[in-house]
Amino acid sequence: MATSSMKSTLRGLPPGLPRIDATTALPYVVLVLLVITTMALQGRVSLDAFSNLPDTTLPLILVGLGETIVILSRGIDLSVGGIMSLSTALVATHVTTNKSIVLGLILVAAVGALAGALNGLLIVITGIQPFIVTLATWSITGGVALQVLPTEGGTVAPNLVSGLSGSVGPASKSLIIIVTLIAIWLYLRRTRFGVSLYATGSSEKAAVLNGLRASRVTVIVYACSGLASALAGIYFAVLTSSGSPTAGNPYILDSIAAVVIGGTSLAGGRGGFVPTVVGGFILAAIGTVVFYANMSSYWSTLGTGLILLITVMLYGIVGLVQSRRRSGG
Amino acid sequence: MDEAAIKTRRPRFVLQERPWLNRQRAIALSYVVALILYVVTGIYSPGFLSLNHLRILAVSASILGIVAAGQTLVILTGGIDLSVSSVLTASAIVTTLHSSSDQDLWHVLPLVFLMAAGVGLINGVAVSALHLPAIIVTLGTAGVLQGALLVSTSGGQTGAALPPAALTYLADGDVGPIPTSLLCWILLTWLVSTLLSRMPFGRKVYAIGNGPIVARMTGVNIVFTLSVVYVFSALCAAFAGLLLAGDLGTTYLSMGDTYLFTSISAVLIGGASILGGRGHYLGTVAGVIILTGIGGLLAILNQGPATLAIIYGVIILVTVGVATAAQRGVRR
Repeated sequence: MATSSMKSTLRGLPPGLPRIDATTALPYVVLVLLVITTMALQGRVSLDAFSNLPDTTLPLILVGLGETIVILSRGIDLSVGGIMSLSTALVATHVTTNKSIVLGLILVAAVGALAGALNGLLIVITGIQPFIVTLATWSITGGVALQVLPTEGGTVAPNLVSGLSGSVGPASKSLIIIVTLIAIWLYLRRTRFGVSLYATGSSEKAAVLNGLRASRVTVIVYACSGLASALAGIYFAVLTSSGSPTAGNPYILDSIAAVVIGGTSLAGGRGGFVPTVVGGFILAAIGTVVFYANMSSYWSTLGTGLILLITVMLYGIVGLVQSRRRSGG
Repeated sequence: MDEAAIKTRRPRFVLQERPWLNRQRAIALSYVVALILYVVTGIYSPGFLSLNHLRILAVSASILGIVAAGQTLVILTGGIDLSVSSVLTASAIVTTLHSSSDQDLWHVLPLVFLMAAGVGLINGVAVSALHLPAIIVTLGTAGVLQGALLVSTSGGQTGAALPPAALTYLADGDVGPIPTSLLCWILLTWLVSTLLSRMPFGRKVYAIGNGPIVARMTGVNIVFTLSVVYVFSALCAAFAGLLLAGDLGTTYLSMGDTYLFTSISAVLIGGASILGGRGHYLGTVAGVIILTGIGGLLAILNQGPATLAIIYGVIILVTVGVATAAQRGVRR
């Protein structure tokens, strides 16, 4: 037990290159298969079918970034849905004109980060399980979102919409944002915070004994998740040019699914953001495949469930085989 | 590690050494909260405690209580069942869609329960044999079930059908002075409580929640026990689906959605630990009574779902917070 968690710590730690084994490769294989299937259905080799994938997947990837960090620290965040709904509702009701867009966005992002930090503080101070704390704050923030914007609607400042949608040169702005997020993540995991994150997730006790302030890591982790969810809410409002007080709810389970399909362990300390991006694209690409197969969009829900179950079972089987091999010799 | 400390303490709550009140402090607390809630609301608005209104509350509490029975067993083993809402909806829609008369129920219901048991079996086997996190497995089966429902009803367009009269009677009929659904719930409460407190199976459920490795070493068949637990949870949800269809008089694709959050909340408010091994269905019953009462209170106050959501969240934090603080006090 102790050696396995130490191994995973070492594997997660920079600067070593990620080890390539069956588990690391799986999400990439699934994504490539989905892309090939789409090309086969179209009858030509082209990525055109995926040109607006970054746009539609960005909210999921943003929520997934927060969820990845939380899960790496061995927590879970269900409040991402409520915070995202709240931020969408705030944008659609308060950032409606071109005046003071920047100030509005900063305030919305701050609300998200604060709500997240509150999660972290509640977890650290009361000692209640993260699942329960974030279940409660999901309900609370979701309720506040409904108070801010009781029904779907509202408007989003036109300059905000034009500023975040469309493309710069050949690349869409959402793709640039995703690449930037990956770059920030790759930098972040090499910093003090990144190392503390993986260490806390692998074994909080060992991390504390080694002088890490685990409770501070926890608060920062949930604040980051709240911030990422708020940004996802902002982008969702831009994407739809309006607001919905329940916009975030599907993203709770979708983000956890993206994290898990990517191969990040729910037991903490192993995984990363890049696999989550791949997991998010897998979930979105299922919809593309269903579209080009001329099936009704309802099939994509079924496909998502099946892909989640199958990949997770494959991870489970690989894990069983590995642990059997380890104990066998 | 904190968790390890809790786990070594926990058996004291299973072995019956202390007086009932002391041992089940969290459960007693939940009933006190429920009592205060109903008395205060009754004073504020006397109609709240009228027989007619109590009957309405009893029917909706029974449906939630039946879903929460399965959820309680699952959470006691240290798992969670996110598929309850999908199973509930699937059972309601499939049943009403394929039975135009009461006679049809004889061959539709066995199939519906078989489907539910199948979902539960997949959940249980994946969690126990493949060591997968319950939250992910049940999320996956919920997605598959939801997708299958969407596809087979073309997005809910063909889902609305009148439930047969027998279901309406099952939900809203009366046996003497008691609504039928309440009677079902009382029977289930007796069954689950006996199972947990007096049967070897209950001991095994707690043992797995306290630590699967130790449980296996002491001879608990984990794959079998967990499979039974998840199948039971799915069957409870399916049965609740029948009651809800009968109560509402219609079915729709999102009819079960709220039961996921409320069933978990009821278990937590009832004092069970999300880590497993601690709690009892009698606590969940109190949680169900509290949640139903709050819903009724807010309806009187003319408050919408927004306030309800906020108050549910605060109630969860406060009750679990108090229980956790009491737990820490005991540990010291």
